[in-house]
Amino acid sequence: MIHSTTRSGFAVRGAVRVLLVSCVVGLAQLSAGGAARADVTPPEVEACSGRSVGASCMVPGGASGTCQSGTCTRIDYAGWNRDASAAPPTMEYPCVRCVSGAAVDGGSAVASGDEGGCAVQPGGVARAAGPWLIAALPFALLFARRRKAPSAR
Amino acid sequence: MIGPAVERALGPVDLLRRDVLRVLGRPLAPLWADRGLRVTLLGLVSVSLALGLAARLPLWTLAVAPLLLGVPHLVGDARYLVARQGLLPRRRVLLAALLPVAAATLLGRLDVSFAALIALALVAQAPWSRRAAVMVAGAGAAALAFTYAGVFGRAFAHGHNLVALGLWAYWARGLGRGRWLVLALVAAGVAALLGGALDGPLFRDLRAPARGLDAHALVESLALVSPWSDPLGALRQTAVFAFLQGVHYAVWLRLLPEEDRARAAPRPFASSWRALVDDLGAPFALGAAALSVAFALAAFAALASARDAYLRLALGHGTLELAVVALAWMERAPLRRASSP
Repeated sequence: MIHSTTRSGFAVRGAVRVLLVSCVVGLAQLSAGGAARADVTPPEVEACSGRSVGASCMVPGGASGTCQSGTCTRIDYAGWNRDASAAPPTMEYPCVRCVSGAAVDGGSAVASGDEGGCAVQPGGVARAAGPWLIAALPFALLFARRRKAPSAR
Repeated sequence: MIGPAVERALGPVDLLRRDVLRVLGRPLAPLWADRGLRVTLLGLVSVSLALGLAARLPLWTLAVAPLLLGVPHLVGDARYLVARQGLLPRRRVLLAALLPVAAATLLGRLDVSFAALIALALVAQAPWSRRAAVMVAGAGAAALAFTYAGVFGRAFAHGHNLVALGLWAYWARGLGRGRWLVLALVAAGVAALLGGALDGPLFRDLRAPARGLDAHALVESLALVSPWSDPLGALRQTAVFAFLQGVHYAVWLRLLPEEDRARAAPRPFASSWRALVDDLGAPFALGAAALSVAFALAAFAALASARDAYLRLALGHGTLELAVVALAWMERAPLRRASSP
């Protein structure tokens, strides 16, 4: 399991290869953009975290948008009396959220419509295809390596 | 310099431990001598405690437990799945596993972490068919994590709690009936939470522990169903996560260490520290200890931000666990432990 020193040159070359592959994979995925990790705040609110109203932002789907003041709604679990109501109460709170399709002109944000819309955004195809291209990359490398050294396992 | 100082500082604690054991010696003797009995009891107590906390204080459990136990459990990951498996001298393997995980942590992107599976398959000393299978699995997971980031992230978070339990069940197969007792209690706890048997305590206190950590926010970030479509089911799933998260901490911090220790009886604190330093090196052990204290202190200053920072730090560790299991499978090398089954 442990590499011997006679194989150190091979190990270094391998390490460099892995480093390169990892960098390529990481950069490719970074350029693909899009997905964000789950967080405790709504993603469209998280997208405007630390930004002021009117600042540009990116909505969870990957489209560009603008941070706008608004009202968010949440379920008030703490105030839910299950004997009195089968459905929990909701409460509204002020928030700054990323609204897609909004254009900024002279500092005023203009929403273009439904923030949950499904319009195809520029770069969407690349973002969707990115992971699949990345998935194909290691196979190409593996096949190339096997062709160079057929006896190597 | 600091490592031996830590060892010296643990001296008085060990003296106290020795005195306590002297007083309680006779009743505790069977537990000391019999690893199986001790692990079974530890497992049952840990699972019961995790269930009690998840049912009575789910939001506090979700907010505080990662900050108190998170870093030590990451150390457990590094120790039992990397160092103790003999992976530290295998630099190519180490790079293949850690670089994508580090990139995922820096970028805040779970999908990137699955490149670790693909890279490991490239460097594994294993048959081509197994490496190809792991590559396909890694690529598929990356694609799913990319395409369905929200729901995949939540499902993966739930699943990674079960990976720890599965590893322990695999390691502790010598326990026999004790292992099944612990696993049955976990299953019963999940069923009780999902079935509503623990709704009473669950609804007793759902006040937010801190701003940004209200019930809705936590439910939305952890439940597999939307709280808008099934508010009760989503809350119960969140409580299940809190429960299994507690179980997975118990596995990494108590149950797996018991299985991996060569001697049957527990070690003094100073010996435990020395063993940790032997496995991971003094800089890593000291850094982890400092980070643990920092997160615990940060919990008092800014609970939500500290939790967020920890979750970011721990983003790729679930993938690392899967990657090591995948490596063992590819190379047909059973995961090692110090104790015999």
